[in-house]
Amino acid sequence: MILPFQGKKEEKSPERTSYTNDGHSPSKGTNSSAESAKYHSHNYLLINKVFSLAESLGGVESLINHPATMTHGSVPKEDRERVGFEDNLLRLSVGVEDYEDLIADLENALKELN
Amino acid sequence: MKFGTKAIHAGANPDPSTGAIMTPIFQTSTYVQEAPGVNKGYGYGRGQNPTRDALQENIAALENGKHALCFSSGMAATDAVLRMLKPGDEVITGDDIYGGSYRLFVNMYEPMGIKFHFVDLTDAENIQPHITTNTKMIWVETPTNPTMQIVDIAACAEIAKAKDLLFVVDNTFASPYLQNPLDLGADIVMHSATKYLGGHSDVIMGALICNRDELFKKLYFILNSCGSNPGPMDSFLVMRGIKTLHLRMERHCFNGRKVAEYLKNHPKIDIVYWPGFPDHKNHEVAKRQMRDFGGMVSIVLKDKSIENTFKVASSFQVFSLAESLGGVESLINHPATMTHGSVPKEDRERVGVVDNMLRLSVGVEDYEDLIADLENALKELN
Repeated sequence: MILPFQGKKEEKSPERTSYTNDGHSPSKGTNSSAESAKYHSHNYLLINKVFSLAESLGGVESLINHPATMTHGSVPKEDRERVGFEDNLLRLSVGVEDYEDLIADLENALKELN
Repeated sequence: MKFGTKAIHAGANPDPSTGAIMTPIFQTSTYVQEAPGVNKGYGYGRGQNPTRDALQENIAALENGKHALCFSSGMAATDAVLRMLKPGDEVITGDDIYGGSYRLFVNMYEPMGIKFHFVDLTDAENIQPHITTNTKMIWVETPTNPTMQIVDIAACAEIAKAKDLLFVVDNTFASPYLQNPLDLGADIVMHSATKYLGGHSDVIMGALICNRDELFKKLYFILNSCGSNPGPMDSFLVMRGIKTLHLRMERHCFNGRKVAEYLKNHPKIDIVYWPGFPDHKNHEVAKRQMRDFGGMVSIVLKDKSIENTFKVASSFQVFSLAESLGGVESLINHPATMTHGSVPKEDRERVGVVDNMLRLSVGVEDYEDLIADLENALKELN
C-alpha cells in the first residue's frame, strides 16, 4: 500500500518507539504516550506503536518506510519525484496483526498533522 | 491490543543496541559483572536470559496473565507445579489426562507420598466427594487428551476458591487463542509450548502463567533451583512460532471442523470425539469458554482389531504417524500404544481410550487433501 503523506516534510532520521503497554495487557511497558509524544514532538512518524519504522517488507509485523530517505534513498530526487514519490510519501507493509489495532495506530499517528 | 497484535508485538521490543526488530538469541551462560553482585539484572543463564524474558512477556500477554515462566518441556513445567506439594497432600485431577502427566503423577509423585484422585470432571460436582483436609490442588485438562471431553473451568474455579485449593489448567489443546483459563478463575495455566504455541514441531518447551506474585516467586524459585530452564535458541523458536498463532489456529479450527464433519458420516467410524458437535456432552460449556473448537479430533473405528487400526494408521500420505500435536503438519497418533502407553489398559479403556482409537492433530494443509487422505486410509478396512 502506498500512502501519499500530506504534511510537513520528514527530515530527521526517525526511530521507532518501544512496545508500550496498551492498558489491557499486563505486559511491562515504559513509555506512556504522553512521554513519547513529548519526546518525539518534532517527529510525527515516531508515535507509531504497532507499525515499526524500518526498511524491508513482507514480515508478520507491520512496517512503515519513508521511501525518499530509506528504501529509495539512492534514487536521485528528480528521478523519484518524476514517478510520483515525493518527500511526503510513506509506504506501509501491512502485517498480520489485528487490523483494528493497525487502523487505530494510523489514526493516532495522523493526528500529529494539523 | 487485540490477540493477533499481541501475538506479534508483546515482549518484542527492538534491541536497544542495534534496533534489530527480532529479539536476538542471547546464547550465553553468564553475564559479566562490574563488581560482585553489580550487574545489569542478569546474573546467570539458568535464572535469566533476555530471549526467554521476551518470550515470557509475550506468553503472559496472550494468557492475560501477569507472569509467565518457560521451562525445558511441558513436563518440566508440570513438575515445577507439583514440586510445591508435600508428602500427604492430595490432588484431584481428570480421569482422561495426557499419559505423560499421568506417568509423572503416579510413578514419580505417588511414591513420594502424594495422593492423586482421577475423577470424571465432565461434571464439576464430581470433585466435591474427593475433597479432604489434605486436598491442595485441582489439575484440569480441557479439552482432554484424547477423548476431547470438556471441563467447566469456571465451575471448577468456584469449588477451588471455596476450599482454598490451587487450581491449575493445562491449556495445551486449546491454546490461548481459544481459551484463557486465568480469566475464568484458574490460578496457574500450564502449556506444552511444543504444541500450538511453537506450532512447527521443531522445539520442546513448557510454560506456566499466573497472576499472583507470591505464586510466581515460588515457581521461579523452583525453576532456578532445579534447572528446568529452556535454552535461548528454543525461546526464539517459540517466540517466532507464536507470531502466527492466530493465523494457524483459525485454520486449525476450520480444518478440524471439516475433518470432524466428514468422519462423523463415515460408515467405518464408530465415534468421533470433537467438542464442536451439538450432541457433544459439554458442547454448551465449550461454546461458553472457548472461541472455537480447535483442530484435535479423535476417532474410534468400528473395526475393533488393533492390527487393522495399525494398518489404517500406517496408510496415510499427508498425515504423519507421530507423537505430539499442534504443528502445521497433520499428525495421527495411536493413543493406546503411543501418547497414553504408560496408562494401564483397564484405566484407559474405562475412559474410552481403546485399541481401535486414533487421534488426529489436524494441521493447516488444504482440507481437501486431508479428507482425501483419510478416505484413502480408511479403505484399508473391510
